[in-house]
Amino acid sequence: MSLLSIKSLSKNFGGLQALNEISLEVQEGSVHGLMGANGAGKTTLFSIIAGNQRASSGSILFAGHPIDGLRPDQVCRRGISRTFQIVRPFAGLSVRENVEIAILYGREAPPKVSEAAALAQEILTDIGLDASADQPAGSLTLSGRKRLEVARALGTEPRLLMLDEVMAGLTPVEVTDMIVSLRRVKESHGLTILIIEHVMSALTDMSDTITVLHHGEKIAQGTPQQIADNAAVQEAYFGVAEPLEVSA
Amino acid sequence: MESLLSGQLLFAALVLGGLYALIALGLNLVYGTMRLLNIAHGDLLMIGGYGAFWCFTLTGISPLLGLPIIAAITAGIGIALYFLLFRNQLSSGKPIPQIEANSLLLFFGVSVVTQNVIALAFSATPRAYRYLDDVYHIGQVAMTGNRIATLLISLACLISIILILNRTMFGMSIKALIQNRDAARVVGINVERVQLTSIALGFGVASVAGGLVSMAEQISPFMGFPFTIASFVVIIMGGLGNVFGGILAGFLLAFIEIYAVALTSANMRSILLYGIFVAVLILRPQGLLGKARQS
Amino acid sequence: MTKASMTHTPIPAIAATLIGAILIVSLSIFMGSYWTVVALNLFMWIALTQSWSLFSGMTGYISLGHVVAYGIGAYLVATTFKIIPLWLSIPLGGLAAGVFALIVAIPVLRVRGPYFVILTFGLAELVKFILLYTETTFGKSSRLLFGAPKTETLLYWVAALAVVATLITYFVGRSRFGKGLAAVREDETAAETVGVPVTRLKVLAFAASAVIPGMVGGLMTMRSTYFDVLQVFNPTISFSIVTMAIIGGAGDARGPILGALFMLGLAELLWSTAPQLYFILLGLFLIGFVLFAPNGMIGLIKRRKRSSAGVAS
Repeated sequence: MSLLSIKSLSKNFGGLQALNEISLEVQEGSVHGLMGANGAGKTTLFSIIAGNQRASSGSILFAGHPIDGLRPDQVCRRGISRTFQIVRPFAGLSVRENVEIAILYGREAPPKVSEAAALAQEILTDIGLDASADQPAGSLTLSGRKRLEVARALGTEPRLLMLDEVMAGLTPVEVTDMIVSLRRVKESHGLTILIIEHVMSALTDMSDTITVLHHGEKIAQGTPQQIADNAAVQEAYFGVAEPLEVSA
Repeated sequence: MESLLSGQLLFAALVLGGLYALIALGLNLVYGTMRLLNIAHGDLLMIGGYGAFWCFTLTGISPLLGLPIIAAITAGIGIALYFLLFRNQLSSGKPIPQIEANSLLLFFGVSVVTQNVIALAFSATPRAYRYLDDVYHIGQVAMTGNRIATLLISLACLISIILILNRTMFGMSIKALIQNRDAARVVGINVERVQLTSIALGFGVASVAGGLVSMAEQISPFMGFPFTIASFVVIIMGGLGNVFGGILAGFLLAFIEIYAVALTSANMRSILLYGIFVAVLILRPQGLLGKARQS
Repeated sequence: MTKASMTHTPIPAIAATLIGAILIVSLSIFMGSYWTVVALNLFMWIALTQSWSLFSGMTGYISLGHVVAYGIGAYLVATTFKIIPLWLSIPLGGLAAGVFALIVAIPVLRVRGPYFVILTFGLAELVKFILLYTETTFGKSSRLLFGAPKTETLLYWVAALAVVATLITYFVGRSRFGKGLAAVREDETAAETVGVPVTRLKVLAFAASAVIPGMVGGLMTMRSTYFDVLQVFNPTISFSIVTMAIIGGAGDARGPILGALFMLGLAELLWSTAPQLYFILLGLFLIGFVLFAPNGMIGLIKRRKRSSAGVAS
């Protein structure tokens, strides 16, 4: 059954059509990949789902209820959490406090303030940041900041986690670590994941389904293998129809 | 109603407009090139007023002739403040909003210090002198010599600065810096020199305006603040960092002020000024006349 | 350090605040009327700066117009003097200031950064000139207030408000609300994305930070026994609040206390002999702290503590 259901969503900025009649179903419990070149509209789609931007037309249902028009904090409490491609840690606060805030505000039924620190510590352990819990978030490395984005999103106890290029800029070893962590938290938290990723091997590796956007249009959807074989995708990406190498 | 159409109000609005445009131009140069919010700007005017006052009462030299010296002194103050307070801030790589907020607090400190140093040195009592106060009649309009001089000198300053900005290499580099710092550096502009000159120029013209004001109005150590506010209104209306928008807005504010006060009463002047200030900030923080630069 | 502070109970802080306030109040009354006034001023500045810190310290929106709350409270108490009893009009003054803040909050808080700072200043001046115009139009440019309470009575009240303001800042800092405000200060977009209702929090903090200054304004206008718009809306009050908060250090309930003590000490030394010198030094200290110790005295103390702890371990 689909957890997130997007129907004919469009967004234009002035004359620019950023998204054109996009429809998308994200199945509960799946990992759904979003692929497309820069400017394809992936991050815009995230921002609209999360309430950071408004759609020009179309509708979004989450768990059967419309969520378009809600503020980001309301969307978050409904159970959707996103990360930012350009990380936005609360730089002056400690890593643990970053997650505590998500725990205290992002949940429908927040715990007591006195319990938040311990809950945050658990999430940081899950995501491999427990050693840096007392450090100011601004002092983390890029890899640490990307992890913190995920940890903070997890703090809100989402049903749907939207990851925006959490592996960009990481070394291959860090990418592998991140995939392992994401798989683990997906299982332990029972998550559905919508993921934007430019690291192709990671995307095909993790996704059950991939949707391809190109200049704001949805041009293909299928399993990673189907996408790799899809002529339209080849065309859009390379200008020629040639099968993609798919790892895993 | 008839008096509204008279040349008298028009003349008053032009004189005030020239002053506002000139004062705001200095504020705009300093903000545009360095993103420093000079809340002590009106105090430079006050310094210019005292400079002209002492120049005239002690030596008998025309305050108009003293203006270049006064401008040079305040330009020197600007350069000193640049090195003492802002040079490190600007090169520290801090985010721009933080530089702006810090500059506001620092200039606030500068303002308090300046006002009280002047009050300590010359007492807080308002002072005035008479210079060029003969009345001339052109048609129905009565004008004092000092107001005519104020209008002519502010227009001359405005025109020469516009020419410098548009016609010289140096003016081009100021405009480039206002548009985009990083790009300006890349194309080989000596950013530090442009910044120093901008602060010197900005501080200098403010004190010239102060010298002009002192010929017709009382001066006191605390006279600067309304001018600070007026110049902020002007540069926000004109678009922060937009030099030409600021000049237009200077005249616009003066016309609004003179005609609205004529329609109501002099007590309304401050309400009007601050009312416009608040309204513009709330409704269009990016300015009425021009687009603000992207931060 | 963080672990230790997690296990802190609030009792020592409450006890220290109460005992400190009671000591200062009784000592100053014992030492005579001059010192009673000094203590009154001290508590006034602590109450004002703590309230400022509740909003500006926590959210990073620097308000340069806090005097407007003080002035509105004073105005309400002065205009209703001998009509409404003080025990009612003073809380009403606080309420009026809070309601005013609530009304202007939505449009004002949309403006950010340095524009917010100058906007708050302009707004306070606008209110001042509107009231001045109203008062002159009705021929009441200043009101004499005969039969105001004794200084000691005012001292009790203002000291109580200072204690309340200090404890509010302290508890909010530890609460869910305080953590949400910290998130707002750091990054509003990220904050709302993790569920923080940014606008609601800002508006609440803005309104709450006006209430105590409103009551303080009402009490202090009783102290001066006459009401004058230009005096109670004097922008110097806003300036002093910001200066104290920056010198003392915002974001920690101890900061405003240190700042107020420092400023009052300076005032004691210079105010009667050289008021200009007092302002000059205050301006220089503001510049010095912004440049070299942006977290104020409390930041310096914490740094000292941390480095000595580092040496010890």
